[in-house]
Amino acid sequence: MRKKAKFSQGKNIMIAETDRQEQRRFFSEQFQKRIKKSRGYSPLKSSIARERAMYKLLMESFRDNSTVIWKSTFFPSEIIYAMDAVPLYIESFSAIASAVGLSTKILHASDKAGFSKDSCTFLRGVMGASNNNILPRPDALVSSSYYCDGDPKIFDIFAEKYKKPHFYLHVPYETDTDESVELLAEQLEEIAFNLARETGKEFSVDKLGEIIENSNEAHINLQKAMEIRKQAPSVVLGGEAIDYIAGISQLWGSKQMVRISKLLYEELAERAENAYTPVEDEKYRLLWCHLRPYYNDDVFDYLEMEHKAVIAFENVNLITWKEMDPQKPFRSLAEKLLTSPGIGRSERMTASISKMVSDYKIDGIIWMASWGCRHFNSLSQVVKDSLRKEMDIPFFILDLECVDQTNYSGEQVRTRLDAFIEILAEKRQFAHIE
Amino acid sequence: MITAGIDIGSVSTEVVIVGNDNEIIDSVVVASQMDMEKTAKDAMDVVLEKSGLKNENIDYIIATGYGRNNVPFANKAVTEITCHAKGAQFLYPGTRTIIDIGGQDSKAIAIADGKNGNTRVIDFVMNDKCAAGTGRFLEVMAGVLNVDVKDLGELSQKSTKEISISSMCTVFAESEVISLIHQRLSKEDIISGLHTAISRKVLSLAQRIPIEDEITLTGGVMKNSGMCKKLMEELAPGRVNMPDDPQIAGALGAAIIARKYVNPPGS
Repeated sequence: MRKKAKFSQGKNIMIAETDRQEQRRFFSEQFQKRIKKSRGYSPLKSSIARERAMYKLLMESFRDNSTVIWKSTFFPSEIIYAMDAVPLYIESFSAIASAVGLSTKILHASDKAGFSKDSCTFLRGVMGASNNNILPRPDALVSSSYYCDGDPKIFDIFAEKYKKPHFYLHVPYETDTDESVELLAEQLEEIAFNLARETGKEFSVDKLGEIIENSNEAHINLQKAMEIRKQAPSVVLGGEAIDYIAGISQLWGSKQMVRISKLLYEELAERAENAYTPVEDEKYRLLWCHLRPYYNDDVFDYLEMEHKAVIAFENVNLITWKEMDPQKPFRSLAEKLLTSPGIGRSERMTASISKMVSDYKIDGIIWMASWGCRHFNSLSQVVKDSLRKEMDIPFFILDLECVDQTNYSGEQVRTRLDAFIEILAEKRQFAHIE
Repeated sequence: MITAGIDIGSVSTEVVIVGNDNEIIDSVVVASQMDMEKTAKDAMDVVLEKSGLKNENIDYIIATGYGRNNVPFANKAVTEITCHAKGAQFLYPGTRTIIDIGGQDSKAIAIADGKNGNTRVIDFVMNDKCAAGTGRFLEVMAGVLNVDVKDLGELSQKSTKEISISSMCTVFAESEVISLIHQRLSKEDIISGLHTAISRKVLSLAQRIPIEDEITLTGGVMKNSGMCKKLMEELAPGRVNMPDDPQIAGALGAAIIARKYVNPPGS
């Protein structure tokens, strides 16, 4: 006899058995709440389409007949789409859980399991969600050495727990050599065929080529959209745009990504043509580095609506790669991945930030330092110090939590943002005098 | 032109009134209450009575600190970062770094030279999530040692032995201090060890911004001479300024900033 699932929200989110259908219904309910949540702005149609695509993808992963491949940030979703499997960028699950108000529950479940609180809350969230059985079970897992060293380790735990194979992508530190591209391309090819074999799916290089063409189409659209964002005043709020995380989206390769990117470009172009700006009297243009708090929009609303300091661009939306060659899909994907400024020497990140400052006419940089993110936080001070030698731009490292709402203090954050805005104001005032 | 600055902190509230010639007419330090509006009003009443001034004599008031947005009679709110910088620079124009330790927060502020002799705040860093190494921390430790917090500075300077305190969590540090007392170590040495630990913690925070001479120490904790001595040792050979009343630097800065919002006579 099937055990009755317990869904009493607010008391116990433990699902009694690992049943994707039950999980699907549970998350569907949570998403409805999210979708109905009021926003401080009218979202773009493309933003609504993006959210629905993410919802649909998650719902797909809850279908019993879906082949679900858990992946870490860096592994290209194109390979997973090419075998008609569903990519589940597992850290994004924690973000989704946080957005629908489940973070406290899943983090608590992680703590109860003895998982270290010093780990990042994305991984803690995944651990807690797995322990609460609200994660769609994987058919295979694939992790990588970049960005996050914690990924392969936690994936090992899950591989053991779900009795599924775990593949590991080693990303070379040196990014600019042909050997590195080859090393990565060979691994991608090997993992692709192994994933297909282990999950009983078919994989063809031709199909991957077609998927790559989808990516290329979306790439062109997004590049054009991001080009429009260079103009001041901004045509879109950063608090809205950051959710596209175009650099690492798990929708790359899908038809939905093509549609969303086209819609985004068209909407931004229309706004630009009509001289529409969501914030009247834009005062400052900020660059936002790293991700965002997923449990509320307070920081963005405060900066953009109250201080008129618009997030003109976000580094997670930077498209760093060139169009890919569908005839050489693995090599192209390897080249794409290695363009990420987060890999290799810190100078790459500094140069990337420096270019964004210039391209997007940036007045100040906010670098969000999220709890437990060894990779990104270790870069923050180095990049800040290097940039200071290069240019006079206010750069603030804001300690802020992505997933765990209980670790958020609105008053503390507002004081820091107020002070940062005062620095921008004084700099501008003296620039006029001088 | 008479302006006032009011700095509402978590532990204490300060008001400074500045007169026509940029002189400090009067100042007051009172304990912060739960009700920030009442705290602000009470503090203002005290300083007005002390100075013989009336509300209508004050041309502009700026509120700062933790409770800056809860002062209904203030004309404007400015953060404690900007106010401490301005206050420190008013006292020591050569200030390029401020290290401030207050009741529950500690911060470091960097100031840079611009053209035409202008200076401006370029960076800052504040403690986050944890109030270890602040005024409240020292109050707890003074309680454990059964000494008045005001005597910590003097006592620490009688220390003859270096003691290492490793815990900065208030609860663990309390246990560690109790353990040291049981080992029959002197209060003077323990207090000195606490000051060393706090100064290193604060400076590790401050290293995230450029530390340039001159360095001015502000905040209530800087009234503790032993704490200042440790900081000066750690910052050597940097030139370190010690204001006579470091606790009022934020309110002073607020009163100075207020002056630019008042139309000068005849304008």
